[in-house]
Amino acid sequence: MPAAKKVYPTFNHGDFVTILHTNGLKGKIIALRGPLGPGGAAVYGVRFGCKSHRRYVEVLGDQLVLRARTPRATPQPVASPASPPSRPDAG
Amino acid sequence: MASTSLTFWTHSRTPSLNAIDAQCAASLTATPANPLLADENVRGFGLLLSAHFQGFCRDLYAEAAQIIALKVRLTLRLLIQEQFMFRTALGHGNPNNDNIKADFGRFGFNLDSAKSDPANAPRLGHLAALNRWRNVAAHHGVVTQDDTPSLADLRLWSESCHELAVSLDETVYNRLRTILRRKPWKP
Repeated sequence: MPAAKKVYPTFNHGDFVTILHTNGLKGKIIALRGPLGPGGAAVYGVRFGCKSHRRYVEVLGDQLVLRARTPRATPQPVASPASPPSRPDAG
Repeated sequence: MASTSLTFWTHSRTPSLNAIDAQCAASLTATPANPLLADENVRGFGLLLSAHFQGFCRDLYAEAAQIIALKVRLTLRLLIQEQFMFRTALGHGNPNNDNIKADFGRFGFNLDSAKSDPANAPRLGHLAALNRWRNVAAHHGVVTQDDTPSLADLRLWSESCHELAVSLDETVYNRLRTILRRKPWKP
């Protein structure tokens, strides 16, 4: 039986992640760099560190664990145009 | 032997640049002529060509850095990745020869594009001219009629960028193969 191919989660802009093998370093995805990793693996730009010392690193998707997704703006239904006011009866 | 970055350059960036080229050509031959639009298109073409070439260089650099980082143990990987990304010249500077050499020099070799291929010397001249025009266009510097590149100039610069991209890809492939003692990507 062929080994099942490991599937890594994909991340979006603004997702909060934990970087693996770093004692729980937390960060935020600020760049989607595309399939630049070995074998076409996705590479993400992650900003981490405290406010006074922001750091940036580009890592592979399999080095990340999702903590929280950034809420996406859900498309609002287009309001139907208001019906024109009824014309008052003449007279 | 094409990296993901070069494949993306060929299949995505080049068609985008060709579309701008076609728009430029159409505006230059439009009847009646619209010199304002033609000038804007020439500026835009120069800016986008420089931007796409910078994007390619950054992609190739990031791709090579990830391949090397994969060879170290998991607990050290982030350290290596961060060092590769720390204050890269191509992250904020133009894709000129000095910045390309500075970043790719982190792989432990002196990148000399002119020596690796004698045909690269005039291409590097075109790249320097492109970056000069890029700065004039981006910052709205003073332009004389002689400074403005023609569409033929821009096409020549575009061709040179393509040839430099292929050459840089090959150089980085050979360098990584020497360091890793294996093929960095499928040829």
